[in-house]
Amino acid sequence: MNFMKISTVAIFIVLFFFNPIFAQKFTISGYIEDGSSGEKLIAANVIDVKSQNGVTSNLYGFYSLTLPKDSVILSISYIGFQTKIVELYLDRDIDLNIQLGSSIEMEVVEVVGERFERIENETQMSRVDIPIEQIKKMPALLGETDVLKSIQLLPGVQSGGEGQTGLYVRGGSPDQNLILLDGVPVYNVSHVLGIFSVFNADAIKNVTLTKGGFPARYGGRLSSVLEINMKEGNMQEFHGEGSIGLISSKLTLEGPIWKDKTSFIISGRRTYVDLITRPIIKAAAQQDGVQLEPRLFFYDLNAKVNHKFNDKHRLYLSAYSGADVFSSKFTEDDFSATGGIDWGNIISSLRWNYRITNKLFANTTLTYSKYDIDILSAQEDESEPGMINSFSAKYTSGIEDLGGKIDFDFIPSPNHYIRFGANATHHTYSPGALVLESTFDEIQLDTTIGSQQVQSMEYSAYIEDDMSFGNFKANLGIHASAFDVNDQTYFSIQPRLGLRYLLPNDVALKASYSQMTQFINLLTSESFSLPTDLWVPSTDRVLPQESWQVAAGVARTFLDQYEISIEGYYKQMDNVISFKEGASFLLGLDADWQDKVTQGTGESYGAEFFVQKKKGKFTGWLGYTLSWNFRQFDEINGGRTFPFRYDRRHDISLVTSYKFNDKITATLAWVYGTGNAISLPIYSYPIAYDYFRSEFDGQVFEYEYFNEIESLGDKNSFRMTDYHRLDWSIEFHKKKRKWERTWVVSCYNSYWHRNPYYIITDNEAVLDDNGNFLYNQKVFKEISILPIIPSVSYQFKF
Amino acid sequence: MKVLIYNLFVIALLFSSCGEDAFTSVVELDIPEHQSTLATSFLLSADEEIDSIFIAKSINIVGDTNEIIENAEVRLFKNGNLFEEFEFIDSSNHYFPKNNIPILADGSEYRFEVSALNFATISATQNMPMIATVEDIDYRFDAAIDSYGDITDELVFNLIDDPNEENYYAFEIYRIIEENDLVFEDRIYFDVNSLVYEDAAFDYYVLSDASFNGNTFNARLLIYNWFEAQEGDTFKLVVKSLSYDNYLFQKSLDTYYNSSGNPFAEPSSVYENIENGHGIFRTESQVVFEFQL
Repeated sequence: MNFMKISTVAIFIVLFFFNPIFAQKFTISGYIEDGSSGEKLIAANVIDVKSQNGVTSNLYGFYSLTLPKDSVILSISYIGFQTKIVELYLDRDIDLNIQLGSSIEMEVVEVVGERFERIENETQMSRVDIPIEQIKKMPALLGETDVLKSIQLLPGVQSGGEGQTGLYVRGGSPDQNLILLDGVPVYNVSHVLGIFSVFNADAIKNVTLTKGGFPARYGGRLSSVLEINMKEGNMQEFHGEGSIGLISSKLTLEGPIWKDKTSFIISGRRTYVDLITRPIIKAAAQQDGVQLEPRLFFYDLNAKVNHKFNDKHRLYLSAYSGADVFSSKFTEDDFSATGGIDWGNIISSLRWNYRITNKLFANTTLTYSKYDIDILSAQEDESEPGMINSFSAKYTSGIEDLGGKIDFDFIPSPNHYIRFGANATHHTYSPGALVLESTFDEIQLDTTIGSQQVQSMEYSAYIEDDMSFGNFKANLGIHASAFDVNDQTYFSIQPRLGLRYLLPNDVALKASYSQMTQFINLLTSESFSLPTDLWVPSTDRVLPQESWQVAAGVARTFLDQYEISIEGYYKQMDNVISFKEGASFLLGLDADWQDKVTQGTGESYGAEFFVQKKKGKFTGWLGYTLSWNFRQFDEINGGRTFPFRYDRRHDISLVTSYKFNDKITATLAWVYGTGNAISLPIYSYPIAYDYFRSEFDGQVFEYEYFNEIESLGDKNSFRMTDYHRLDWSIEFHKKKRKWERTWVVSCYNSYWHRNPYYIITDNEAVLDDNGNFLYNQKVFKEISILPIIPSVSYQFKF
Repeated sequence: MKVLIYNLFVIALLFSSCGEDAFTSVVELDIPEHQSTLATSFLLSADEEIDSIFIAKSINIVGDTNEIIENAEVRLFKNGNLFEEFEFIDSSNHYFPKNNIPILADGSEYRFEVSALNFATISATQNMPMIATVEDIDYRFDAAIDSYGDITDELVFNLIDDPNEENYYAFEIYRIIEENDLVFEDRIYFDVNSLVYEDAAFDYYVLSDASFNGNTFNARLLIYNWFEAQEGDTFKLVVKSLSYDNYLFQKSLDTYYNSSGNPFAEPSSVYENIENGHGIFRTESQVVFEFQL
């Protein structure tokens, strides 16, 4: 009986994947590249015009198309490049590497969606690609192009506080976003308290955001996957680009080390406020007889080398290092004091592409990611002859990952694209330790206070099949994961499903279901990204976060230029984490972090409308999100459900670019959002809060201090005023003989809307008609932080 | 050129408008009407004279003004029987006990009740905690290092915890100074380096016996060096036993003050235990040790 069952299943599988089994088929496979640089083109389209069968290239430019023995007319296309037509007779397996040349029209083609495949042809929903060229054109705060702030302009994605880089995707929190740089998780994505992101746009090749309908290959976070891939480096010739802005400068160099075999790219960015202000501060301090040496800057360094051994093997080594440094050294006579805070990431990956057969492609990756923060306070006193008294206190915390993964792409036929793989990551968490060292009067002390390191292992495996049957397409998969920490092991099986049915008139109906599990958490404020935010594991007390999400929608391309999609979604989250009421986000050593947090549930639902124009002089998009987002914790708000801080009923973003001519391009972005939810006091009462007794000459004196206590209403039951702002930028291009320069003038918050950051209660004097004080009246005041901010930068390319 | 002129205008606007209120604006919010109730805070300490009491009312966060309640009937019950009544003294705006009957640390139940015209009667009940058992008090010079890295003195003692009760404690230290035939007490601030202690308002610490229930807790209080304690100084150690509500109130008051106006913290409210009203009724007993260094 069992044998019969197994046989039946085996036959079904064979028929399913290789039908018609008796037809003679052959495979065309290879890589698709940018002909001028050798950069691999991701998601380029390869279609047999006769049969209308096709595939898209994978993350490494690899494609494989299996067709019956016959003459074939291949159309290879990628937006911004000339479509290439290749005619051949398919009577054997063929290796065909394709190089696409820049389109004649490229100068006027501005791309919003990078993939050429029409939106109605894809099974995947809830995914957006933004080409880096589009991101670089966007108006930017202080002229600093920012990948994450561009992502915030997409429907379903909300920003946190004003000017912050945090992403809140479909009701999720920032730690629920898996942000991958060349496949490696990035734990701290911001500089300067979240105002700038760590991603240097000059070094980036493409950006893809998936916010729902997650294919099985993704896992580990509840709300989104943001894939950022670095450029590989030009295989043909040496090039460079850079910019000089108000607060930072950037330089990127790329070129062949061994033409058509090995290339490199290196890109650096550094702010220089400190270089400008340091001499002024030093001179001012010297006038007071002291020495003061401030260090205030952040930097990023990206580097990548790739080597092509042959058509089967290719190796990539990429690295990122970036840090924020805020410190100063004070010296007066024989006394010196140093204090500061440094934080940063080191990320590296080694990837090996192995084209095993013309239908099977493997990528093996070793990953390393480290984020740490050091807070140092030290002083040294040499005022006593022959003696040095010193003290130093250093607080350190962070997370370090070492991982390995292998991913396979198996393309047995045009109707099936199978991906499978496995991943193992070792996490080391340092939730915070204070090292104290001191020497006083020749007595030496060395003490360490705080939490010990915690180790964990995270495993995952997946398999998915992107299949098509006529007008019907499906992506069916399963993601399994396990997490081992402190003798506690968690397992999770997460089914994934994506469906697409093509109606007449090329209207696509899409639906998806996905379950996700998250084993690590970020202890962070809802308002700020602080360097002291801690990544911590699930433990026996803090359970893994889980979610399930369903989405459905329609998509269609109109007039060959306008992509329109409407999606509705519902997401349920369990074991989401939050600070308890009153807990300080500035985690200290005074308590176990597990005592400061509580877990509950989250619910988010809404609809997203997105229309984008990809081609022509006038490009851009309009996004609108209507959403509801709630949380419930037994220990917060008396257990009652409350709106999440970023429960934003309406969210609109309008982005437009217009290329007047080869010399001038203007971009405009307008955003609007319902005011954030906020907790405010609703009543107050006076209280005698401190009794202090003192005895003086036999008499007891009592002191009683009064204050007014303000008590909160329901959590997040009030709204700040609505948020909106208009940003614009104008680029002035000029081509020189051997290089090209661009002046960029931009303006943030052009009409200076006082966007609320937080609300305080304050006393305001009430005066009579003559200006005499009558009494104080309590009022609510909104505090805004970013006014109109113009900026200018100079860019060059050679 | 137009762009240049526009940006110069923008820059001028930016710098000319960065006044004191450039980033602040008063907003009107739709705050629900608050039903005013009686509000008070009352600390009942064993072996101390009963404190005077301040009775007020809760008010809307905007638009209302504070008001002292002068006509209230304020009573304290012990184990269900009327124990003390209070009368309003105009000059102090406080209610004072009529009889001043001593309060004992005997575990009795106290019920506090306030009635006033046009308000619902408010009440709260607390048990008076028993005094703590303390042994082996020792003062050590230059024996520890505080969280700032400074060498400190250390006041060490053992706290014998009652295994049959959930206990909550707080410590205070004073230096008794005699100058020119005058005697006064100087509060000594101290640091701790154990996770058992929890922050309470005004640089105090409170602790629960959850981690040492029924055992001996070795308390180590780090005396900052700036007090320059010397041999021969007279110190006073006060070990307080707190009711659970008192413990919660002191912690919540600390988080309340830390979070008020602090965008880096979740907003919080102060713990209340007054039925039909607002505020706190709390109890504590204390044991005092005076010793010479």
